[in-house]
Amino acid sequence: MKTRIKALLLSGVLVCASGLGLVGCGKDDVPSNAFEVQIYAGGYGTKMWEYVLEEFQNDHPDIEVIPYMDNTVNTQMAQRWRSGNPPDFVFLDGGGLDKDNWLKSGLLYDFSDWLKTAKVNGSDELITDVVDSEMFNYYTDSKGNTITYGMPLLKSSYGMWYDENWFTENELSVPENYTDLMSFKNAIDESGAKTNGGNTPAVLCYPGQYSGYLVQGFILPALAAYNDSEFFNKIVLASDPKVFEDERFVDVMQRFMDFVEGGTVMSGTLSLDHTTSQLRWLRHDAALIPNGLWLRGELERDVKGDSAQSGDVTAFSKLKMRYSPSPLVKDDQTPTMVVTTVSCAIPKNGDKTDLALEFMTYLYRSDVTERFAVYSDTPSAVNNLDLSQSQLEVSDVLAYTQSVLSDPDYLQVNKDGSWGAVDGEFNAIVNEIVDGNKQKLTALQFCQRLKEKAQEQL
Amino acid sequence: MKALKIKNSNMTRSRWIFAGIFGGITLVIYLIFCVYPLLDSIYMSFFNWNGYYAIKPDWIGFENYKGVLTDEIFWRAVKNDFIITLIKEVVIIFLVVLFAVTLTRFKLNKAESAFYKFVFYIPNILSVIIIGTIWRFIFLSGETGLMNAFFGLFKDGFDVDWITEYPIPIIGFVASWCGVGLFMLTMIASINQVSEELYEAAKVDGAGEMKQLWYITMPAVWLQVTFIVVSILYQSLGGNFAIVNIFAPTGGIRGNSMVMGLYVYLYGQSNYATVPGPVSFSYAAAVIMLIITASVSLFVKYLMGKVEERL
Repeated sequence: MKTRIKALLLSGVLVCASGLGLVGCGKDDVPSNAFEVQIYAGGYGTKMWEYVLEEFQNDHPDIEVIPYMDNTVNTQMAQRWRSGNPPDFVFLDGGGLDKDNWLKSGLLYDFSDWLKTAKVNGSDELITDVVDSEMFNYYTDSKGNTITYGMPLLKSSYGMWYDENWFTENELSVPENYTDLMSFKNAIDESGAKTNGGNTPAVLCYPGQYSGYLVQGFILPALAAYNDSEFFNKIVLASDPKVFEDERFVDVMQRFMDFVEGGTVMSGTLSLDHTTSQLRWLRHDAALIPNGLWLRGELERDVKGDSAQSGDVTAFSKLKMRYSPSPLVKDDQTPTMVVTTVSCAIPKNGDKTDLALEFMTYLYRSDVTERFAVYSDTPSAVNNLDLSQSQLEVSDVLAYTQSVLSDPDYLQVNKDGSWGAVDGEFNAIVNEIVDGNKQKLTALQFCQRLKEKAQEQL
Repeated sequence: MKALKIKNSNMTRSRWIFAGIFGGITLVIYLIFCVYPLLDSIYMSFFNWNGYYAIKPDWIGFENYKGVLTDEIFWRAVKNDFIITLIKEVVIIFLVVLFAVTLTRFKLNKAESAFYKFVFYIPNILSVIIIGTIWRFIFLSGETGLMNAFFGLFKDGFDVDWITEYPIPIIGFVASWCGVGLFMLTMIASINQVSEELYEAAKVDGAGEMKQLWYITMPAVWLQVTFIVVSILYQSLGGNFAIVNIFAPTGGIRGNSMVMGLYVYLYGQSNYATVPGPVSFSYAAAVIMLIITASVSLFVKYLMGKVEERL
C-alpha cells in the first residue's frame, strides 16, 4: 500500500514537473545578444533580406541575427507587439500587420531627429540625400504631434497589368481612359480572342476575397487624377467624412458602377483569392488585372504551386507583362498612379535600438538598394538608382515599371496613411457592385455608406 | 486528518489521493487555460481595449454589447450559423443512422465492414484546412473548378460561382461531410448494445426493417442521438468559423457567408471595427455567441429529453 501511494505521488510530481517545464519552455530562450527581425515573406520575396542580414551578421560577429521570415510572421509576432516585447526590426508589409494600432499606441520609433545626421553605412552621404522626404512615412497623432515612423525601401504602386504579347496577337490597344475602357469589351469581342474554355475573355478580373486590389489599382487612381491633394488626402485618411459625398467622388463611383454593369468583370471573380485570380489572368480569362508591382515575382512562384495547371509554366514563359495606370480616369485627365512606399520600422522601446538604427543604415548602401530593386522587381525608393550597369539580372518587367514610374506624362500622387474601417467597407461595396448591386443602391448611397463609416471611426 | 467519508461510497484513502493528484492537476490546468481566459474576456468586454498593454483601456460598460446587438452583420452571422447547423443536424443524423444501421444490421462481412468504417472516418482525420482547400477547389469558379468541369462535359462554357452564389448550402454540405465518421462509430457502438433477441422477436411478429428501426433501434439509441444533436449544435455555433474562413475569409457579400466565429475574428481588427477598442468589441461578440450557444444547446437537450420520455 505504501509503495503504491509513493508511486502515485511520484507520478503526480513528474506530471507537474513536465507541465511546468512545458509551460516554461520557449520563454526567454532567445539569447541576450540576439537581433530579431520580422520580415513578411510575400510578393517581394526575401532574397534581398537574406543578403543584407548576412552582410550585417558578418560585420557583427558578436551578435546573433535571428530572422523571422514567413508569410504568417505578422500574425505570429502580433502577441509580442501587444505584450510589449516586439522584435528589434520590422518590415512593414503583408497581411496581419497591425500598423494602425502600433501608431495609435505609440509603439514605433520616431526617426525625425536621427535622420538629421544618419549616414548611409560605409559612406558620408546622409540618408536624406539619397531619399526624397515625401518617401518617408509620417503619422500625426490626435494631439497633432507628427513622427517619422517608416523608412522607405521601395517605391510601389498598384496598376492594371496586361500581357502585351496577347494584346498584340489579338490586335488590342490598352485602354487609357474611360471612353477606351467602355468600348474595350466590344474590342475584345470583335478580336475573336477566346479562353481555353471557348468563352470570350472578360475585361478584368480581380481577387474577390481581397477586393482591396480593385480599390487600390482601379478606383483610387481615378480619384487621384483630379490632382487635388487636399481632396485626395481627406479620402485616404478618412479625415473628413463629407469628402465621400463630394461630387467628384460620386462621379468616380458612378463610372465604376457603369463599367461593371456592362458585364465587363469576369464571372466567378468574387470567390477567387490572389493566387487563383492571377492564374486566371495568366490563362487570359481576363485581359486586365489590378495588382501591385510584385506580380511578376509572385506569378513565377504561383505557376509552380498547387493551384497551377499544366501549361501555366509555359504560359508564364510567353508572358510579356506590362503595367498601365487605371483607365477609369476621365478622358481629359492625365493617367495617374498612386504611389506608396514599402518601408520598415523599429519599435520605440526596443532594447536594441542602436543596433537597429545601424542596421537601417545598411539598407541604403548601393549594393543593398540594388538587390532590393532587382529581387523584388520594384523600383527603389532611393533616388536615381541606376541599374544599367548592374551585375544582377534586371528583369524586363522591372526596367519597364521603372520607366513608367519616371514617365513625365503620368501624374504620380503619393499616398501615406490609413483610412481605417473605410477600407473594409469600400472593399465590401465594390464586391456588392460586381455581384449585381442586388440592393439597387445608387452611387450616392454607396458613397454615403463610406461617409457613415468614416464618421463612426472619428 | 480524518478521511472524508461519503455514504455508500467505496472510496478509500488511496483512491482519494489518486483522484486528488490526477483530478487536481486536470482541474488546475482547466482553470488556468479555460476558465481564467473566459472570465478575463468577459471582464475586458466592458472596456475599450485595442489589445495593446501599452494603452490603459477605459471602462465603457455595455457599449460594445450594444454595438454588436445593433449590427445587422452580426444577426446575419447568427442566422447563417443556425442554417448551417440545421443542415448539419439533418444530414449528419440521417447519414449516421443510415450508415450505422447498414453496417450493423445488414450483416456485412468483417473486411467489408472495416473498409466502409475506414472510408467514412477519413474526413475526421483530415485537418479542416485540407478539407476546406480540397472542397474549395471542387467548387471553384471557372472551368478549373471540378464541379464546373464536370457539368461542362454536358454544357459548353458551364461556369457557376458556387461559393459566391450558394455559400451556406455548400459550407453546410462540406461541414456535414466531415462530421459523419466519428458519430457513425459511436452510433455503431450504441446499436451493437441492443439485444438481438428484440429484433428476433420483432421479426417473428412480422415487423420489417423500417419498423424495427423506428420501434427498436431508435428508442434504444436515443441517448446517443441526443448526444450527437447537442454535440453538433455546440460545435457548429461558433465552430463553423474554420470552414467558412477558407471559403469566404471576409464573410462574403454583405455578410452572406458570415458566421459568429468569423465575426468575432474579423471585427476584432481595425479594418472592420470602428470602435476605439476592437479587441474588447470582439470579446463582447464572443460572450453573446457563448450565451446564444449555451441557451440553444440547453433548450435542445431539454426537448430531446422530452422526446425520449415519449418514446
